[in-house]
Amino acid sequence: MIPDSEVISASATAPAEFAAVFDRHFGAIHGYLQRRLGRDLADELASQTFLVAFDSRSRYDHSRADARPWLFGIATNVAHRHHRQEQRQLRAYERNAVDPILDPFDGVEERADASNLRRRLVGALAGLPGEERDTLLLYAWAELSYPEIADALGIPVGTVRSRLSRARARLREPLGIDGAEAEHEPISSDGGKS
Amino acid sequence: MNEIDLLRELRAGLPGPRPETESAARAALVWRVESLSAPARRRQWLPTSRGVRIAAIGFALAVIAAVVSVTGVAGRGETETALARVLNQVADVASEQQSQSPGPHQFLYTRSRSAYLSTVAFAPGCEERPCEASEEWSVLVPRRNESWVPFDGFRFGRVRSVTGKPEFVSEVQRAAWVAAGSPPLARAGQVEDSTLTGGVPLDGEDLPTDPAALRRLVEAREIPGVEGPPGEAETFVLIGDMLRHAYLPASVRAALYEATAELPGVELLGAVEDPAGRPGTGIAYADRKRGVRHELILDPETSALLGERDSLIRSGAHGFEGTTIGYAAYLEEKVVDSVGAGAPRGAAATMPVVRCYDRASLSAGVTVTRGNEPILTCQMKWPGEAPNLVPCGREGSKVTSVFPGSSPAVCRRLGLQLRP
Repeated sequence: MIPDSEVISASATAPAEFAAVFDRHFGAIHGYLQRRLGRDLADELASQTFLVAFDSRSRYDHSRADARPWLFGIATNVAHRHHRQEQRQLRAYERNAVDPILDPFDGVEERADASNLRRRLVGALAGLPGEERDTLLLYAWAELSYPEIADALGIPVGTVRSRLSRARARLREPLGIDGAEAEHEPISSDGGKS
Repeated sequence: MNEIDLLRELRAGLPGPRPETESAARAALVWRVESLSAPARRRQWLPTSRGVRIAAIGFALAVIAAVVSVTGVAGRGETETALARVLNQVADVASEQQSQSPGPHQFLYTRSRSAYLSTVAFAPGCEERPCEASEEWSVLVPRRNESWVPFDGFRFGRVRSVTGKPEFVSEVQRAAWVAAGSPPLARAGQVEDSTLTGGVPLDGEDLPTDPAALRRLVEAREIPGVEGPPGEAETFVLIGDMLRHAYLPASVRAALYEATAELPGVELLGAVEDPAGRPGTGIAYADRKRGVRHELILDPETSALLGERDSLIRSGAHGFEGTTIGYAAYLEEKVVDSVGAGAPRGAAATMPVVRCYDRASLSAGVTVTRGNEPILTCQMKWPGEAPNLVPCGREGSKVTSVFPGSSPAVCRRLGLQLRP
């Protein structure tokens, strides 16, 4: 497969080439946005993400072969206007044990099957500062490595590490997970490209 | 099980995007790509979605003062009379101009300068919380454009643009951007040179020379290539698009000016400068619904359309009255034999023709364009709706006809074969 960076380079003079970037990554970007904000907003914002990406393709760092961090960064930025909405939905989930982003017409039982543990998790997630929630969800849901998150958010890797460890601590407390025990969990994703 | 495992289970297994969502998003992207490749079109300057906001800062153009002085002194009837008098004089000049009649293998070359609003940066602080309006910067990105559009329907053209230095719509926005550490804006000096797959130049021989008949065709959006949303404002813009073309027969250009004189709501601005600083006569239409004034600047001596300008007509969330949000100056137009030196590979090569039909009938409304992907090409004709489309054609033919429908039977019924 031609690396994303070369496709994006080619799109500087042949803009139609950019469609390949869409075809490769739309599903992942939509999935991430849907998980954060629900299907309707994801439909709109995923489309917007690729328009913003196309418009700013000349600023792409061509030393990065994989465009995913860049695209997830744009998606995260585009989703910022909806931070309050995200928070409201999480609070509603915590309160009612029903996830408001799920389609009411499928999987009603699963919607109502929110354990206490999960409700506490959702409550803690709603309480995170936006920058920590972004970092955490890029790690857990978008499955980016630390250096990729640093690229996506335009921050140093060290900041990623400290935000993530603060966020994890804030989640562990209401869940009653012992911090010492969790520390054994290797925070491993430092590897990969940097 | 630690907190990350729990988090990874949360909302796991959601269904992927619906196919119609993905195809609508792809069509939107292809539409954006194509609109970049097409010659500067007036309506593409306007923000298309909720994306663009401008901080509310005072910024008034001299041209607005000109509007006030003309309409302020003259009564409504008087203004219209003056407008009709000016436009009919220009029509007389137009009717005496020599027009070129292009051959099928020639290209329409145009050179212009244009700019449209683009939201290019976010304040770093907005990564942590929702952006305030004042933290997004909209800048006018000027471009120098050249395009070569083939007169036959079978070849690619070429479009070349050089990005200029972005211009802030106000000093206050510029200061906010500096205070935020001057994050990168559009890159000045960037050259884009690509093959063009847009429409075909207007065929002037087919157009009526009676102003009322011409206006009815434009209003009904029945001229191939003169398409757009409904509304009087758009009709004014479409007439401006047609007036740009000096190659159109003199009688047609005269009829366009006469038709403009009869359009309701058109105002005379008097003497103004075009965006390239050339003196001319301005006429305008205020689109109150969108809050935008469309202005055309013409040269009464030659009947040429010199340029266009879009500005806000009222102060509000988007900025102060008079802020320019887009402009174009048409510098040169001629009929040429080739796509010029240094053209990208593929420019001037022949390519398949796509005919997009409104209904499943060969006598229905049709848009003729060029493209290798018939379905995508026709989807752009109905952005947002993404109807089911069926491609049909004759064996060995370069023409693919695309009809709305969900069954391949439509091809057989029309005596065509389904295209793979």
